[in-house]
Amino acid sequence: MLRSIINLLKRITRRTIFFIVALVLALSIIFSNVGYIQKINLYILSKSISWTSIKAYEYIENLPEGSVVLLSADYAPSTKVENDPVVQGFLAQAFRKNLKVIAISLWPDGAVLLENNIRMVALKMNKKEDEDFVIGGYVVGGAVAVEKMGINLKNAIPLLRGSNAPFLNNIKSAKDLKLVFCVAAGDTLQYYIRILGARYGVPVSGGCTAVMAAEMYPYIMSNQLIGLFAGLKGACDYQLLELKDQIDPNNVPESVKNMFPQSIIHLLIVIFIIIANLIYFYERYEIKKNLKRKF
Amino acid sequence: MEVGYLFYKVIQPFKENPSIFVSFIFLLSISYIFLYYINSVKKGKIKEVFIRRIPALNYIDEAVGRSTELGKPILYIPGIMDIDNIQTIASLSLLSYIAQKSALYETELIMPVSRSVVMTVAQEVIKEAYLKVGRSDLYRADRVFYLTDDQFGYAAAVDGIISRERPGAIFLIGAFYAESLILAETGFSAGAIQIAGTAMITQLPFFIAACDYVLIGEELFAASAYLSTDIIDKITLKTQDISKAIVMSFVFVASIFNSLISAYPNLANLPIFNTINFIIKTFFK
Amino acid sequence: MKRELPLFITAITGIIIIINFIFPELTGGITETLRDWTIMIASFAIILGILNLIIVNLRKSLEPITHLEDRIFSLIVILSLVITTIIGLVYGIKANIQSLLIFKINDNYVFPLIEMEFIKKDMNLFTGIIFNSIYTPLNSATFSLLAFFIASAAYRAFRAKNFEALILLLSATIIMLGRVPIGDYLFSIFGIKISIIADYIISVLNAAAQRAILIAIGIGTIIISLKLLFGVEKSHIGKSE
Repeated sequence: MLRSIINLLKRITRRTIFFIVALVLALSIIFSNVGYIQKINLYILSKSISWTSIKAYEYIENLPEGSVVLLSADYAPSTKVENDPVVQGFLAQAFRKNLKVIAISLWPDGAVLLENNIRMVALKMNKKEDEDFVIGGYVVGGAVAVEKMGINLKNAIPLLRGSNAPFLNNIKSAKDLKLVFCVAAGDTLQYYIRILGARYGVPVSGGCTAVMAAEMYPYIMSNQLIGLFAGLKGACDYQLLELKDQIDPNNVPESVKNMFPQSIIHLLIVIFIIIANLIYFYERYEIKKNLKRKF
Repeated sequence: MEVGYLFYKVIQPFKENPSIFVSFIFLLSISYIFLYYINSVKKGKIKEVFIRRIPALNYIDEAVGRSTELGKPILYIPGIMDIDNIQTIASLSLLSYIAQKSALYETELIMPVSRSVVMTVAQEVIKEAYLKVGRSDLYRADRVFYLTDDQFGYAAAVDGIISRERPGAIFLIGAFYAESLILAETGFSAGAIQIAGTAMITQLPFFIAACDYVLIGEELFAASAYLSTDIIDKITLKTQDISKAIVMSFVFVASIFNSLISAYPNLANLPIFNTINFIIKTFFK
Repeated sequence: MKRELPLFITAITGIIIIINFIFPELTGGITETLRDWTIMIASFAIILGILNLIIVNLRKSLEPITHLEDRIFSLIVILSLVITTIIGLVYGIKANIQSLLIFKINDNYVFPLIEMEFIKKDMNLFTGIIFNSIYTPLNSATFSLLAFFIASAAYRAFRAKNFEALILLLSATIIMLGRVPIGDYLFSIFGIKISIIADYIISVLNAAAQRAILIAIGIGTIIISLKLLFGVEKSHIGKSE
C-alpha cells in the first residue's frame, strides 16, 4: 500500500506541480471573496501585526504636523500588489497628519504608478498639489541622485524648481527632511539608508517586497531603518493600522483578501516539501533494505 | 586664518557625524595594507599566494568543455545592473577568462545584456580575449547584444534564447533580482550546466536550489584573482582577509563589552568601561 | 596613452568622490559636476542600446536564412519600440482620469437587473492603455512565473539529506507558515503562535547571518573599488591584465 502511494507520488513532474499550483491559486483567489474566509483572515491578521510595521507606523504617527517628508516609490508593476497598498497607506497617514509630501521615484515605471496613487489618495482626502504635496516624478541617476539629494534637493529633483509649494522654501537638502519613506522592489532602500541615513543622519523608513525583507533586518536591528512594511503582510499591517476599526468585515481591503491565496500557496509548498522528503526517505529505506538482503 | 578655516572645514563633518571618522580611518587602513602588499609583490618579497579551493571556479573549464562536446553554445548573463555596479565589473573580469576558453575550444559564446554600456564594454572584453588566444577570426560583435533595460522583459527574452538555442552551459554572474529563479529554472529545464555567482543575498537561495555551482557573495569578487596568473591580482585577496579580521576583532571586543555591561551594569562606573562605552556610542552609532 | 588615460581619469574621479563623501564642503562644486555628467552619460547610453536593438532585429528580420517566426518577432520588437515611443512623446505620462458611465448586470436578485455605475478610467493612451492595460499585466504575468518555479524548486531541492539540510527545511517551513495567517490558524490547536517563532528566526538568526554576509560583501566591494582606483583591475577598459 505504502509502496503504491510512493510510486504514485514519484510520478509528480514539474508540469504536474505547475498544474496543481495554477489550480489551487485560481480556486483560492475565487474563494478569497467568501465572507467567512475574509472574516477569519481579518481576525488573525489583526492579532499578528508585526513589530516592524508597528515601529514604522508609530514613528510616522509621532511626526509633528507640517513636517516635510520624502516618498520614494521605486517599484515596477510586477510588485504593484505588494507595494501599492504601502504607498497608499503612507499617503493616507501623511495626509491625515497634515505632513507635506515630496513624491518621487527612482524607477521610470514607479513614476507612473506613483502618479496614479497620489492623485487617487489626494482626491479622496481633499489634498491639493503644490500645497500639501509635490510630485517630483522620475529622478534619473539612482544612487548618484540620492547623493545629490544630500547636498541640494532641488538640484537632484529638477521638477521641484518649478513648484510654488510654500513648504519647499525651507528645504535645501535632504537633511531638512523629517523622514524618507522608500517603498522599494530593488536596491534603492539601501541607497537611502547608506547615503542619506548613515552619512547625513536623515531618518529612513519604508516598505519592500517579501523576498528583500530578510536582507533589511540587520538595518532594522541597528536602528538604521525605522521599521519596515515587508511584502504583502506588511501591506496588510499598514492597511489594518491605518483603517483600524473602520474596516467592514464584509468588504476587507484588497491586500487582506490577497493574503488568503498566499496562505494556501505557502501551505501547498510545505505539502510538496513533505511529499518530496517522504519519497526521499522511503527510497533510502528501500536501498538499505536491499543491501541488508544481499549481505 | 585661511589655514584655520580649512581646519574647521575638515573637522566639521566629523563633528556632525563622528561615525564618519571611523569609516575614514578604516578606509585609509585598508588602502595602506593594499598598497603595502602590492609594493611587496613588485619588490619580489612575496612570490606565492595560497587561495583555498572555490569549487564553482574549478568547474568553469568542465562547463565550457561540455558545451564543446555537445556542439552547443555557451550563454553568459552578466546580471541586470549597469557598469557602475561592482558585481557587473567582477562579472566582466570573469567573462574575459570564459571568452578565452570558448575561443580556444571554438565554442560559440552568446551574451544578451540588459544595459547598453555593459554591452559596449563586454564586446571589447570578448574581442581582447579572442585576440589574446589568437582567434580574433571567431569574434562576432552581434553575439553580444542589447535586449531591454526592463527586468522581466529581459528575463522573458533570455528565457526565449535558452529555449531556442539550448545552450550547453549557462553562466549567471552578476547582480540579479527577482528574475534570477526564472532564468535559473529555465536553464535547468533546458538541461544546461549552470554556474551562478552573485552578491545579492536574497537571490543566493534560488541559485543554490537551481544551479549546479554557485559563487557565494565575496567569492564572486575573488573570482578574477583566483583565475588570474598575476600575483598582484591574488594578493588583493590578502587585503580582503585582513580587513575582515579587523572587523571581526572589533565585533568580538564590542560584543563581549556590551554583554558584560548588560549583565553587570555597575561596571559602567569604572573609568575604562566608561571610556569604551563613550567611544562606542560616539563613533559606532 | 590609450590605456593610461582612462585609468588616470578613473583614479582622479574616484578619489574626488571619496573625499567628497568624507568632506563634502571641500570638493562640493567638482563633485556636483561629476554627478551631473554621470547622470547625463547614463541617460544618453540608452540611445546606444536602442540603436543596437534596432540594428540586430532589423538584420534578423531581413536575413532570409532566419526562421520566418523569428523574423516576425524581430519585426514586432521594432514596431513596438517605435509605436510606444511615438505615443509616449505625443500623449505624455500625465494621467487623464475621467469618469465613465458603464452598464452592468446585477444577478443577485430573482430577475437580473441592469445597473449604471460611474468608474474612473485613465483615458491617456500611453498610461491608460499601453502602461496599465498592456505593460502592467505582461510584467505581472512574467513575475508570477516565480510562484510556479519556486514550488518546483522547493520540491526538487528541499530534501533532508543531512543535518544542515534538515535545519534549512525546518526553518523554511516555519517562516513560510509563520508569515501567513494560516500558520497561526493551524498551530492554534497546539497553542503555539508560529508567527512569533518565525519572527525570532528572521530578526535574530537571519539578521546575524545577513550581517556577516553584508560585511564580507562590503569589504569585497571596497577591495574591487581600490583595484579600480589604483589601476590593478582593467576590465572596464576592455583589458583584464
